[in-house]
Amino acid sequence: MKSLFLLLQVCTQVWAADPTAIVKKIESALAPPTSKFSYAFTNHRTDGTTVEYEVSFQMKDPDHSHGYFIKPEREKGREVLRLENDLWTYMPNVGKSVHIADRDSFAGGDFSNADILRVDWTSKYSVTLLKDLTNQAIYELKAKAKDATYAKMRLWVDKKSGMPVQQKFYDSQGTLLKRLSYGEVKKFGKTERPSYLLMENVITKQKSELRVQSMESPADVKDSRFRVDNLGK
Amino acid sequence: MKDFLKVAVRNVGRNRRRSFITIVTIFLGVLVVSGIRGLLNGFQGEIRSSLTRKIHGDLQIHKKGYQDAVDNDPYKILIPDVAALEKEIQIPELIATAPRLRVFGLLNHQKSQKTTPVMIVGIDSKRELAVCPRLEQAVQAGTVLDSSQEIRSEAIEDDELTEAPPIGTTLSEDAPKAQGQNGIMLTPSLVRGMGAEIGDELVVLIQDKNNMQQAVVVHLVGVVDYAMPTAASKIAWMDFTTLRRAAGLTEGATELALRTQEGADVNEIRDRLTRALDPSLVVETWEELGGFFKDVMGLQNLVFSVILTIVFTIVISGIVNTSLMTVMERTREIGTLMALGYRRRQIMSLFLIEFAAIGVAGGIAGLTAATILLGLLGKKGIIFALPGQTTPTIIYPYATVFFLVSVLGLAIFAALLAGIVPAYRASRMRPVDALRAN
Repeated sequence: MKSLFLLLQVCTQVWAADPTAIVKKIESALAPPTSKFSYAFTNHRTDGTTVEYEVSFQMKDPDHSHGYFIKPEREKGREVLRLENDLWTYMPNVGKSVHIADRDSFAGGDFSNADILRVDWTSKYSVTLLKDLTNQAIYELKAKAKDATYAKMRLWVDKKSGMPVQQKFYDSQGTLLKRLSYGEVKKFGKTERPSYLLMENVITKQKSELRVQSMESPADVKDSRFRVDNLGK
Repeated sequence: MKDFLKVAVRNVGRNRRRSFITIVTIFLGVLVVSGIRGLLNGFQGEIRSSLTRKIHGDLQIHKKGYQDAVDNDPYKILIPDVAALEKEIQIPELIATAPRLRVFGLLNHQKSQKTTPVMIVGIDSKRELAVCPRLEQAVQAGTVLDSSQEIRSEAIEDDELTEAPPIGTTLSEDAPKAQGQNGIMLTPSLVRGMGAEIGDELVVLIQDKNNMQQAVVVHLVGVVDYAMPTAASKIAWMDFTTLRRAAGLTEGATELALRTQEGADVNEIRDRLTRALDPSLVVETWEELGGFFKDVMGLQNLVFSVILTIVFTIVISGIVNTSLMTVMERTREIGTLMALGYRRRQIMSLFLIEFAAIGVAGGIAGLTAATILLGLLGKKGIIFALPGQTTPTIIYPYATVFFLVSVLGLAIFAALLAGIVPAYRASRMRPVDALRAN
C-alpha cells in the first residue's frame, strides 16, 4: 500500500513537471474550449495617441473562433473568423470578407492575429523547461510546425498559481521581437486567468493592452457562427 | 565624262545665290536629322546603360512565374541551386554573374520609430558591382554596401533567465538583438520618409520561408538613386547571405543577373541559354525586363522616322523648286548644247550631276557641322531631367559613322530625286523651241 502511494506520488510529480502539460493547462485557462469573451484593446502609438477597441469573441475549439467588433463606432460590425489554418476578416463598409494571415497585426496593434485567435501553442511548439527559479519556471517553446508565427517563445509561469507571468517572442536568430506581460488574475466563472495583458513591441516600441472584461464557458456555441458565408449576417 | 563634271560643277557656281540657298537647305536638313539622332542615341544609350549597368544587368535568369510571384511569394520562385546554374551557363560572352534574393518585408527606423513596407533585395556587393558597375554612381550619399564587412551574428543567448519583473516594468532598451554588423542601402524616398541618416539603426522584418517573423538589425550605409522615372521608390538593398539566412534559406536566389561582353547580341544569348536550360527557367534581356523603356525607345524611333520624312520632304521641295528655275533660266543654253550635238541623256546627266554636286556639298557641310556639334556635346554631356526623376541624368549624344554616311547618301539621293523631273524636262526640250525661248 505504501509503495502504491509512493508510485502515485511519483506519477503525480512527473505529470506536474511535464512542461507540455503545464503549458496546455495555461492554454485552457486563457482560452477554454466553447468559450465567450469580451476584450477591450488599447493600442498606444509612438506618437502618443491611443486607439481603443472592444471585441466580443466566441471560441468552439482552437481551430474555430470568431470575433465581432463592438467599438469604436467606425469599426462596429467588423468580424474576424478562424477556420483551422485560415483567417478571414469581414469589413462591413464594403460587405466583403478578406483572407488574412496569422502574422498580421490584430486591429493595428501589437498583438498578431495568432496571439489573439489561437491559443494552442502546444500544437505548434515543442515545450521544454528552460529554468526552474524560486517562484517562477521558464519554459521554452520552439516552433515545430512550419506555420508557427514565431521561431521561439519563452513563457514565465508562476509556480504557485500556475498562471503565466510573462511571455517573450523571438525570431530564429534569437532577436527579441515582443514581450507580453500578464497581470490581474481574476476568476471568470470557474476559470481563473490573468485579465490584463500588455504586449510591448521591442522593435517598434509600441504597446497594446488587452483587458478581459468577461469570459464565460457555455456548453456549446453555434456552429453557424464559424462559416465564412455567414460573416456579416 | 570629265568635261561633264567640270561643266556641272562650274554651273553650280554660276548662280551662286541660288546654289547657296539649296546647299544651306540640305546642310540644315542633314544637321537637324543628325543632331536629333545624336540626342536620341545619347538618351537611349543612357537608358540602356542605366538598365544594364545599374539595375538589371544584360540578362537575367528566373524561375517561370517570377514576375507574378516576386512581390507576393518569392519563396515559390526560388532558383534552388544557383551555383549549379552558374556552372551550366558558362558561355564565352559571359563576364560576370550575380545572384539576388527579393523578399517583401517591413523596415523600421529605430530613431523615428517609423515602419514602412519595402522590397528588400539581397545582393553580394562584389559580384553585384561586377554585373552592375554603375550602381556605385547611383549612390547619392554614403557608400555601397560591402558584403565582405558583414558580420553575421550567430543566434544569441538571452541571459535574462531571471524571474519576470512586475507588470509595467519598462522593457530594457538593450533588449537582446542579434548584433551582427549588417549594412543596408535605401532609396531617397525611404530615407526622406523616415528621416534617416547614414549610420542610423534600422530593423528589417521579414517572413521567412516558413512564414515566421524574422528580424535583422542593420545600419544605413548608403542612399541609392537609380534616377529612372519608373524605378520603384521603396527598395532596400542588404547583404545577400544575411538576407538569405534570415529567410531561413541555405541555398537559392530569386534571380541571377548576367553581364555579357560589350556589343554582344543579348537576344541571341537569350535564345541560346533558353534552349540549353531547364524549361522551368526563363531568360530575359534587359529590354524585356525594362519593358516601359523598350516602348519609350520604340516610340522615339518612330517619331524620329516621322521627323526624318518631314525634313527630307522639305529639303526635296526646296531643291525641286530651285532646280526647275535653273532649267527654265537655262533653256536657251540647253537649245545651244543640243544644236551642238549633245544628246538628250547627256543633257539629263549634266543636270543630275549638277544637282548631285549640290547634294554632296550640302551633305558634307551638314555632316561636318553635325560631327563637330555632337563631338562637343558628347564630350561635355547634356544635363537632362525627365518628369519624376529625382536626380538629373547626363546624356552624351553621339552618332555612328554608319548613320552619318547613310545621311550623306540620303542627302545626295534627295538632291538627285528632286532633280530628276527638271532634268528630264530639260532633256525633252526641242532644240528649236529652246533656242527661241526668252
